[in-house]
Amino acid sequence: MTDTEKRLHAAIDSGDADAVAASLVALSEAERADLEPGVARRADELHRSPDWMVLTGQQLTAAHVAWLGTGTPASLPPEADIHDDQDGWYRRIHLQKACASAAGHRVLADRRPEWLPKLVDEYLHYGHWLWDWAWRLIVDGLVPRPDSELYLRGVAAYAGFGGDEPLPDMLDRDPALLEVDLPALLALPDGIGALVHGDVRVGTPPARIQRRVWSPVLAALPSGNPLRERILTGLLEALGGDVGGEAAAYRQFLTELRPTAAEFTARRQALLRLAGHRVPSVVGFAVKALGQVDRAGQLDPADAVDRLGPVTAATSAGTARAAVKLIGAAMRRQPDLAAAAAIALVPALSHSSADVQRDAVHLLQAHATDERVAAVLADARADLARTVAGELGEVPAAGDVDLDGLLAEARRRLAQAGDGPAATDLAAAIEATTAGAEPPPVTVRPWRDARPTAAPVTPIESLDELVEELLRVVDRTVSATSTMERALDGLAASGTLRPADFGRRVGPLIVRANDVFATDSPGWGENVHSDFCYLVANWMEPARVVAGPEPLDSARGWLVERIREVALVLQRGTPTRLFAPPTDEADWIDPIVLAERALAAGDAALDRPVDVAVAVARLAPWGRSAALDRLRDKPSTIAAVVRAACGSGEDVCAAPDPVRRAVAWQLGQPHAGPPYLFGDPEPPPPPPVDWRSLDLLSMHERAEQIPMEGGGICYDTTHLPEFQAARRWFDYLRREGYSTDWAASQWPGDTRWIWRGDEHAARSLRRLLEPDEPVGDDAMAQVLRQIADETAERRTLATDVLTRLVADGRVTSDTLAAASSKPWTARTAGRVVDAFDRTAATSALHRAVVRRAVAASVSAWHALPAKPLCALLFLLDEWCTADGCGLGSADARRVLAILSEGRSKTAGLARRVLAHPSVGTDWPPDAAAAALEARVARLPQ
Amino acid sequence: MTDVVLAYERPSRLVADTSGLRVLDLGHTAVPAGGAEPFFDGWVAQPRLVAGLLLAVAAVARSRYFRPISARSLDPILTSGDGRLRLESFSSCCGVYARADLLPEALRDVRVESGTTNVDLNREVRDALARLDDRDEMRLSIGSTGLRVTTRAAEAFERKVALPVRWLKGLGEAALAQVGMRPYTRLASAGTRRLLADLPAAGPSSAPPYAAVRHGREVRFHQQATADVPSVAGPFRLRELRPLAPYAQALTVWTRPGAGPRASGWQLDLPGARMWLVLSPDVSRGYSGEGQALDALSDPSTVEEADALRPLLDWSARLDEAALARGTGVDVARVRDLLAVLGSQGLVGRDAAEDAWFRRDLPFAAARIGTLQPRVRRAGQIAASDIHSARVEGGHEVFVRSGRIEHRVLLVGDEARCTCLWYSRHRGSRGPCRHELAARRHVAEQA
Repeated sequence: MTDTEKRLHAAIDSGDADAVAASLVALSEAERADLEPGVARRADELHRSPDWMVLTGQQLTAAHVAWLGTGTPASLPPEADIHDDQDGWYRRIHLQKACASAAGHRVLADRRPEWLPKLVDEYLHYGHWLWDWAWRLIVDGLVPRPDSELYLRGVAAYAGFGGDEPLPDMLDRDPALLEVDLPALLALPDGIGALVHGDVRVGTPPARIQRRVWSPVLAALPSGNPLRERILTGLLEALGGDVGGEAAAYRQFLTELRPTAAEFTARRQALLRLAGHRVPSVVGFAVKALGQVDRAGQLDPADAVDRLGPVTAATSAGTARAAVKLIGAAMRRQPDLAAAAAIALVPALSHSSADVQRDAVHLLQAHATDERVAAVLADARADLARTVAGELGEVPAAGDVDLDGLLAEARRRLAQAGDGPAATDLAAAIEATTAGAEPPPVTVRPWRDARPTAAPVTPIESLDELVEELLRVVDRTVSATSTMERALDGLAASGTLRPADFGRRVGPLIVRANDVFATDSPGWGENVHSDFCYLVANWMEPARVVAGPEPLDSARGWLVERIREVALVLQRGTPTRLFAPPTDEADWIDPIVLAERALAAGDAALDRPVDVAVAVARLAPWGRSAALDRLRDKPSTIAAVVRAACGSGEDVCAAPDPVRRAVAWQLGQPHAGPPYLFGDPEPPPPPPVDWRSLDLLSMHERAEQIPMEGGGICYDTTHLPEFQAARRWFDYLRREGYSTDWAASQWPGDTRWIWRGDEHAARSLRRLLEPDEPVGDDAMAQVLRQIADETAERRTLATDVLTRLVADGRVTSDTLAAASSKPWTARTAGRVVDAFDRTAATSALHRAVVRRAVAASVSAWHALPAKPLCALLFLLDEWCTADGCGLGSADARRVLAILSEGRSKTAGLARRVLAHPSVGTDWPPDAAAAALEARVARLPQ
Repeated sequence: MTDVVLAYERPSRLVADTSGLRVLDLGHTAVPAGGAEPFFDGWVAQPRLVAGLLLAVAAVARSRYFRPISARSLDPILTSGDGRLRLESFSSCCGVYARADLLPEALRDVRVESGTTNVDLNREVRDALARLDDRDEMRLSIGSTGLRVTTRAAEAFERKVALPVRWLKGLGEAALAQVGMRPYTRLASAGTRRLLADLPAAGPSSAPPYAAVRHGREVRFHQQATADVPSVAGPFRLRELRPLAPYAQALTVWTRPGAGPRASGWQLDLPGARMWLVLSPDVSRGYSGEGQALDALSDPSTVEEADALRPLLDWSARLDEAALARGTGVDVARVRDLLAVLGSQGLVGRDAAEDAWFRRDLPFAAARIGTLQPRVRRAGQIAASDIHSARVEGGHEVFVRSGRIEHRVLLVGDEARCTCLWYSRHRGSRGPCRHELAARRHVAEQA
């Protein structure tokens, strides 16, 4: 080994790349060739070292710097694809790292191999940090400046890639980057796009800080610089294309360049084109820029009027108002354009934002003497917001309502109606209406007032019918809870008697149940459809083991027990009709039918205590005396149970516990607690856990490491508190998710338990659309919660529910105000305001109820951020204008008086609301009429 | 999946002619289908509006509204005839059908021949269209003879699109979805703009459909279903209409009478043009499985009869059903049925506004029609020995073998029930299952 070789290897082993470079200085190509085999061997040894990723990184770089100084393209590690040759790919990476190092650069600068341009081309394909390496070779004159597309696109994408040498420093060293390379890039197809997309660099996680590379440099170029001019023009041209989702990047880049008014003026025709673009954000940008042009007095009034009319329909009120302002400026400069401007402003006059409408009306009012302008204003009146129409002197039409006539008719109907809650409600409504006040909410007590109006539920009569119903459950295509009830009853009644072609008729059911077992492997009690699959299995094989009993401490527990009781019936093999199937689709059991069932079944039915308990809970409020008569003097316990539930007052201590509790629930205070617990304290739901918030890394670190039999270690986290909390929460969710609808059908007299937890409530909101569904405080709270939900569908449904509740009198302004009295959150306030707006737009009744509720709950929303607060104040102004009244609530007027101080938009809107007269009633006649009609409609026909 | 190769003479382009005017020179498929070679050459009255229409149709073709991952799109289909142009597209998820009708009043100095072709709306053309302004003049030119002669061999290029069969089926089913639709309401321009500005955001695909309910001068979206009111799943799929809102003269909402999930039609009236979107009954539900004409398609004689009708179709804006009836010797009602069969095969299009069919030969579909209806095909594959029927009260009970089991099909009049999973899921709302088709055929043969 020569001295040079020894020095070289010593430098490699010490990981000193600089020493390697020094030891190669001034060597001839022949000397380098002699050294190459030993260097290649050493590089190979280091690469094969098991610790190379950690321990010998510097040695590897030093070895590959040496290889770069001694090898040739034929001997250096060739290019390799990581998917085809992972080892070769790593070898090539070592060489690339050596190239990119300062020592590698010195070695190449000293050696100047003829194959360097080829290597540069190859590395430009890779891009990223190797583009930077290639550029340094160019700057130092080691290779000629490339004009390839790869290099030029790299100028946009990789210049200043790592941030080690910021772009301004690079430009100091190499002005041609700006003067030669960038213009050449812009000449490429979509070169401007490459520049825009390469401008933003995102740092590595976790910070991921964004920085811009080219735009700060270009922003510093003086106005009039040809390159800057070209880029500005190119950006506007690109922005005008079919940019879609890329529009934001172009727009932001353009903004970063801080174009001057003069620069925009020079491009005003392009901006006018952009003002008609299909992407709203592009339109917004163009209109803003045209505003600068206009302020500089350089926007042709005819252009503004001719081109900006469609922009006044922009979804963004800000953009639409800016366009209206520009048209207004054009009208001031050239009044003879007024008629054309009026046509251009037609979309603004029907904009969903009253501010846009108002701006347009103010503009046109100044030219209303022009009959063409006046005609446009007249045509627009039907679409104007009431407050805006008011400014045109349009007094909102008072409700053309004959309230006295309606009151007389209501009294006539009341006199015919007799007793009952609907009559009581109507009497209260007549009294309130006569006094000019809002009537109280209607009374909804299904447990006392339900009537047999729903469609009947008939028992299953044939095997084929049973198979069809079971298929609905197993296939999860159930549309009514009576399907489960009929299927359970049909199975219990089917027994073991089977027709000759039994297998043929049940074949599809068996296949589908087996498919559920094969694909889901469900456990008992997991969900309704798989539990019915177990039941089908019990039907086919009655001797099958039946699962143990479930605790009756949840709605799910009751449902699972009902299924289990039928499995036990099948096991016994005696065809049995169940007690609990409802007799109508409203889930009630006609008492006389229950009496007949009691007579037919006898005390054997008490073997199914949950079945009997649910039957008692479903006992309809009508026809109980007939049932008592039918069961009079019948000695059985089951007869006593039905009689007791019907109010006989007798003792049923011989009945099983759930049955006794059900009877007590029927007779006692049935609506004070969750029915399924029949008086036991309800276990509170565990605190919610969001799995995304779990610190999995920390849990992994604290896990117990349990050696496994086959080798390896199992990380056990089950002892950790957060694991147990998550398990409690997910167990709760699983239980609650079993079947809300079916559970609710078990106790049709009282469904208030549904509204106490978000899980059941979210699934059950549609129930409240039914006029006979009671709406307690919990239910109203859920409606308000759902109104602010993140999903549009749920918000819309909740708004529909609120609309229905107001329409049929279940909710009044007092109940709505009480539900709205919790402080609104800044995040959800906009959604609540939107829902109130939609609800109030339904009718005069809705508007009055929402207006009064909003006024009464002022303490909950007065501190909202400006945007939702202004939206709400605007609506209050609209509603007061429409109803011709002010805020009746003294508290609301006091709070609004405080808000009205100052010059903010909020203050202005508060002053507008306060300007409405507060004397007299705030319950307008058309609302009163609608409320009265709603109560008349509830009278029994 | 089927590969469709669209061979264009050259890419579409927006070029300036010798006098500096803009000419949208659409590249079309080199081998057009249908009658005469499609040809269209005319001045556009409102360039920006027409550009907006073309872009909207192209946007639907590039969209996938359900599980928006990579979309497989086919270029829009252009049908010319009767002085008008119809540009159709179909979303990649098969749930949205779009059609722009350029009416004669939107076009000046038109030379038009008749036919159907695909047109290439590439990125460059879309960019150029987006930049168009009403101050530009634009000539719409399709298939200039001079260009064809000089460029056919040299500049032809191909675009290969892997298309699922369901896309082809869906396009035909989208036409059938419009049969029986009636206008629910018509909004004026202000209401149209408000509706399109306030479309509900995209929610989970499992979300229930909205009801589009008329309130005064507006239509609002509700979640409370109401009979005979349009059911609209995923109204966000109307978003491609938004850029056209400033030009809107009116918006007509179409639906079929009834309740439950149904397709809805949205007709945007524009100066000299109409834009149509037909939304499927559910975001996750493409038109391909709707099976509206399966009963007819499973009858070979009906299919033959419909096929015999094809040579008699002309390129007028409304196919003349009475003339077709005279030409074929069947009554008008039967002609309507046969046109529906052709519609389900994508061989005629449906224009609900005209309450009529129009001829449109899909260039790529003719050879694939036989593969479009797997339920019909599979019903045909069930052997007669695997079907057993018996008379029951009011109809027939038929057992149809399917693998190891038999499905029970109960046929009572027009009603049918089956124990298969398809029936269990759709209850007849998406056409008959294959067991029902086989059972009906069997019963008919027995009779």
